[in-house]
Amino acid sequence: MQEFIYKALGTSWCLLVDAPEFPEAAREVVLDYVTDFEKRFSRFLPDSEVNAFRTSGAGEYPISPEFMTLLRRADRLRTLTAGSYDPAMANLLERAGYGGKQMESPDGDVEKFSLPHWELSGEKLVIDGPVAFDLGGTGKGYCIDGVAAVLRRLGYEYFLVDGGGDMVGTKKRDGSAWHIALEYPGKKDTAAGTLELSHQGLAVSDSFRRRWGKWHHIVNPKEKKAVEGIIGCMAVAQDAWAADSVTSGLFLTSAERYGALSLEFQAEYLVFYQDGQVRKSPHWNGELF
Amino acid sequence: MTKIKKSVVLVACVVAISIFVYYRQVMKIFQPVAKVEEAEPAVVEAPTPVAKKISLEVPAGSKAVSTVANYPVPGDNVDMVKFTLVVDKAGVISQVVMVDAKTEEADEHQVAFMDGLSTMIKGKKLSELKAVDRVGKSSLTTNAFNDSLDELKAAL
Repeated sequence: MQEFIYKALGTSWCLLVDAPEFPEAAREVVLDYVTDFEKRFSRFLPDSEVNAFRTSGAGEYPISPEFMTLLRRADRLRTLTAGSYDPAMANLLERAGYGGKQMESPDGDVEKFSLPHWELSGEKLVIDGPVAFDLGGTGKGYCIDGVAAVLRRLGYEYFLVDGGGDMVGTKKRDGSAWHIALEYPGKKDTAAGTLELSHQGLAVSDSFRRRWGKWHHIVNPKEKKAVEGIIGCMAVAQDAWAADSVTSGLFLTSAERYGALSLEFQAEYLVFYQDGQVRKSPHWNGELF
Repeated sequence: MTKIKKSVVLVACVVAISIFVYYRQVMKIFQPVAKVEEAEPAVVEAPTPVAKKISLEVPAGSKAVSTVANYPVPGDNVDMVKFTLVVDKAGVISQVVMVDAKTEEADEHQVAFMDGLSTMIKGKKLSELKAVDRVGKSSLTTNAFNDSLDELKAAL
């Protein structure tokens, strides 16, 4: 088993490649892909595509096909959560103190934030004024699947791509699945369960990380505050992008909409509440402790 | 275009109904057998059936479509369930709502299908796990869990 660990998108990645070797040249191709993705879609980099409309006026703008793909998914998730997920909230995060990779105190201007209107028309982005996007909640899953696609192009069939705890895996060379433990939200030495991952994606998100003051990174732009009550979500779907989208949706919408989310992405999920209850989709396929 | 949307909604209805019927049957099969106990003199209240009023939110531009499905349940009975799908402008489902066709309420199985099942998970210490390849966790979490895996694997 070949192991390749690197840093990207502000977290630690680990590739497990079940092959006799995983040479330096292949590692370089992976690093080039994630570096390029970060350069294009990180809101922390001023020249990225998500920051390209910070000073733009109302109008229709052409965007790259990949940015369009990412925004189409975000738009869909916006519908499924009745607007509680919206990537046009980068400025709200900044006002709340999450402007850079280090969290700061809110600047007290949160209430003045107004969610910009945006929509997609054909191959164009339509906005009503300046807008800054944050693809947190869907972007990393997309990137994890992108790394998997790179590995396939390089000829590797058996691998697990772990992007900071979210992952996608094929199966092992001997045909067995990847045996994955699930960290209990907020309890770093405890597992909530295990599952067998084979040609699937897994996403795990909790509200204990990236926390500052009354805020953490999962923010409802309609309510202009961090989500409370739910401490963590996990989802398994056909790929990491779908699983990542589902965990974001679960955090930001009410339980009445979980059925539609699950149906849309063909996903199974766990939602952990502050009071110790856990909501489990009917066909969650894994051991829970 | 309308034909395509109608057929998509029809297929989605069939899929949703099939999944629910399958789920309902599985739940019935695995329903725990009630334990027979000695009758006690104390007055025992009948269990309150779990039912939930379901509110349906139809955003502007979306529309709701409903259908009633019959399906057999053990005991030669037939239940009637009403499925309502909220479909957005693009013809894509944004909500799935399922209620008893007569009462318009959802019983515990129907709620579980839509919202999931409530359960408790206590968790298990890392030291009790064996042969784990990786740990699914929130990003930027401490690496303690994955770091400990190497020690654990070495100890196996």
